[in-house]
Amino acid sequence: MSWVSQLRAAARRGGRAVRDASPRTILLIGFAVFVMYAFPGYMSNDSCDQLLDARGHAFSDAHPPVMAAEWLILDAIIAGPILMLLVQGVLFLGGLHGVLRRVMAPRAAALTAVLVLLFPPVLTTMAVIWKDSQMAAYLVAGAALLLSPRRGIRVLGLGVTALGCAFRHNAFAAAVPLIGLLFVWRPGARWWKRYLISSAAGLLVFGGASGLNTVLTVHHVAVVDSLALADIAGVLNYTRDRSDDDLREVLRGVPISEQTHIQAHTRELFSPRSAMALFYGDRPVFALPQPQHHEAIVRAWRELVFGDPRAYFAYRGTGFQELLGMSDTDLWLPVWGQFLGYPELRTLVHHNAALSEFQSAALPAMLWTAFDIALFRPYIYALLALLLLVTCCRDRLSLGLLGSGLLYELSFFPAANTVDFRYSHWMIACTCLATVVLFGQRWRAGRAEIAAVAPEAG
Amino acid sequence: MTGARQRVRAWAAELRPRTIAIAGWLVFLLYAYPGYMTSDSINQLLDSRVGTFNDWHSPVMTEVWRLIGFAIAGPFGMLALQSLLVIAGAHALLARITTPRRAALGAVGLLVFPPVMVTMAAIWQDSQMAGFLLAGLAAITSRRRGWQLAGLGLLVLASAMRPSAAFAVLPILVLGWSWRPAIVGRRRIALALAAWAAVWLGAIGLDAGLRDKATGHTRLELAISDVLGVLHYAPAFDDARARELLDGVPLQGTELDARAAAAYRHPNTLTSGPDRLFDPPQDADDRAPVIAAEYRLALAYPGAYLKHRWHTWFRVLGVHRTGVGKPVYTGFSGSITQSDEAAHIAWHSAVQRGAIAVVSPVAKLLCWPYLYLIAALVLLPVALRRRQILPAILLASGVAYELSLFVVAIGSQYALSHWLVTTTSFAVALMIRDAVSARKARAAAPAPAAAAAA
Repeated sequence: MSWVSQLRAAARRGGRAVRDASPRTILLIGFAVFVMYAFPGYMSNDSCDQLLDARGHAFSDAHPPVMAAEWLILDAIIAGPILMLLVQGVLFLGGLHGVLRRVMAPRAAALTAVLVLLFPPVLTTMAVIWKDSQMAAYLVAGAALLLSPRRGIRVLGLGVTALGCAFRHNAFAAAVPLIGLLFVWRPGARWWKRYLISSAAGLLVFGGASGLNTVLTVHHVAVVDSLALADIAGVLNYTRDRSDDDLREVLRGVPISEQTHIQAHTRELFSPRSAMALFYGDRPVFALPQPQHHEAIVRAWRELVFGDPRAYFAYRGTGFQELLGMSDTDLWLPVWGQFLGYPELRTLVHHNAALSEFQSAALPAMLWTAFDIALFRPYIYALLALLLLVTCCRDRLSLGLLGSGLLYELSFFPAANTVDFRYSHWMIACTCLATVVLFGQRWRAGRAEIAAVAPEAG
Repeated sequence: MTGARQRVRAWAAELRPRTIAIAGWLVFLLYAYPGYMTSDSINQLLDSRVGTFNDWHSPVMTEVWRLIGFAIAGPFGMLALQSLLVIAGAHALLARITTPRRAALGAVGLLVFPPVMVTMAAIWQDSQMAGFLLAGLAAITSRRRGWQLAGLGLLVLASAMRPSAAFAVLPILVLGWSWRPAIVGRRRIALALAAWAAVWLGAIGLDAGLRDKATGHTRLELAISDVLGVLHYAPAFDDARARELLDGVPLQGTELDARAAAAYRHPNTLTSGPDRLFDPPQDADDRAPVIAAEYRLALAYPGAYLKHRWHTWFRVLGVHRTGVGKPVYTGFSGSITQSDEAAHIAWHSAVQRGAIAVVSPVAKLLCWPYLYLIAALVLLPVALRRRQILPAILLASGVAYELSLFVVAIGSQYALSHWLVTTTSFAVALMIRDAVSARKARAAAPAPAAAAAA
């Protein structure tokens, strides 16, 4: 046999190997590409804060304490972000495959799961050690387990979903449709019994997640008060002009930095995209709230928001539009490719890394898809989800996924302080997954129809 | 309790070879992640990133690092490569003589054996060389032609990692390689020698081809060490004789012999400081007289040269008390400045600290290269007499490489003897296994008298 024919035979063998690749091989290759893109796990300020919380055993509720606890355990095994990356990658990919396996053949499910993971708007957030990526990973894995025919596994799915809920304050909005529509205690039960049980399970999950975070919290941080102060600033921006005397009366006891030109100062610093400028910078509107300010903040929030609900909805509506990417401005950090929030953190977290050539090439490509084409714009996925929901969603799985994504996104209407792209990650992931689930179901149904018609025709 | 133990045993008995290998590798990673690095390693990492291929380190290793750096930046890719090569190589060799499960257990056992693991955990030329050698040995002893050719390629890479690695390759090819089963005897050996020459030349060519700047650093370091050594051990002579022997070297000052002998313990003072003997050579023209002086001195005072080499080798073997001092290295970089330059900072996890605490005392107890050399020298004739080919190849390769250090060793790091330690440990395990198997076979076979009666 000549060298040429040997080469041809080898190429044929290679082609056959690719075609005949087992689902596990496909998943492994896909996961390897994910790790290559993300290694050893990108980190922002928030991630570094959580790593420091974990190492200092000081779990504050500024971030989910459950994530710090998870990191504490993983960091004791291998220091740094790598195990967190592997956990979120494995859970997410495994969960995707588990869900898709219900509607597709094994190889198609594996290939589709890999494609969803590597889809840029999904990948860029999954590559960062954030609560959003952890939540998505646990929720997808939970959804896959909830679909199991074995009750024990389904109950385990509830536990995993509860963990997912513990990663964000508003994650329960994402869990409600999943548990409500996917969890079955006993197949064949009457509908009211089924939903009664799944409601109870949902409450248990919510209670478990909240309880876990409460038990783990060591330092209480006034997150809700910061949110309320942002709302106060938003209302001041959109409401009618008000005098300093009037505002001093309304805001008595609230930690405002300056007592004059309050509304003008607020309007100067206000942005529907981020409330950060209100708290940080040379002339912030508010000092950081302390526990003793809580009652005054709640009172002022009630007076202002209920006094002018139109201004509140105008502020929240504008912010939500920004979150969905419905303005001309750039999206807020759709691609994160740094290993530290800022360089000085390297000595605090004892971690630093450099980009590989693959990463250096992949990140600009991701940035291009994020900024130069509309692929990352969350409103596209919201519209697609609504469209699918109305036109072709007739089963619990896709309904659960679409409902989960949309409800979670809606939960940011009253709860977002910034318009980070990662907040929309779950909706985008759910929409992508539901789309392929629906496509897979239709494809299967179509093939079954053809198979049924063919013998008759014969 | 017994039931639980039985269940654990049953569970362990059902573990698949691949699971065992992966689990063993993960255990290794718990100790080594993301890979320990010294100043040399960081320099090489930086070289690989900017594409500078000088001869301070193996250019081939720099190139391997550059290629791996395409996918994974930092030391982890190299750590994965060298450790997986050891596991794959050892597993492939063992799978030919035992069950796949035992082969996996053996391969993993070799990797996590503390005297082997402490060096494999660091990104050094020695660990890379060991990985490529073991994988190359497994490949060239395969029956498939494609694997044999791949094995030769792996041996070329191994030979390019260290200047004297070719001596480790020689026994592997001579004892273990045959182009065709039909070729035997002298023809096989001649062909193996030709292949060895090709491998060696290939490695030299590869290094030279990749190198973009020849500094002659390693060669000069050896020459200076030898010059100092001979001057230290040779009988005292006057300045005129010293200038004659060191002809061409721009010597400074007087009482050259005494000053050179004093610099023996601290070679850096030879070319630096106010009392330096000569300025550090800057180019090939400056280096040539020093290298020529090395030959001249060695020929003029062969006894002193051998004594110097003998003392250096003693330290390499750990016989001398100033020899192998700290075989366990667990730093992530040479210095903070280097960490910043390479943008690589890591931190020991709690489990890693625990693993280091366990491994360090064991390694201190077992990391004495001379023990492995004695064991290898004792066992090699036994293995040859009993025709235990694989142990014989391993032992011969380890001994040949260690002997080559007699001529080329400059420092006395434990890592220099890593190949000897790895091969001897592997060979000892194989020979113990053979001995146990033979004893079991003898016990199972009926006694001659009983057999005759039957």
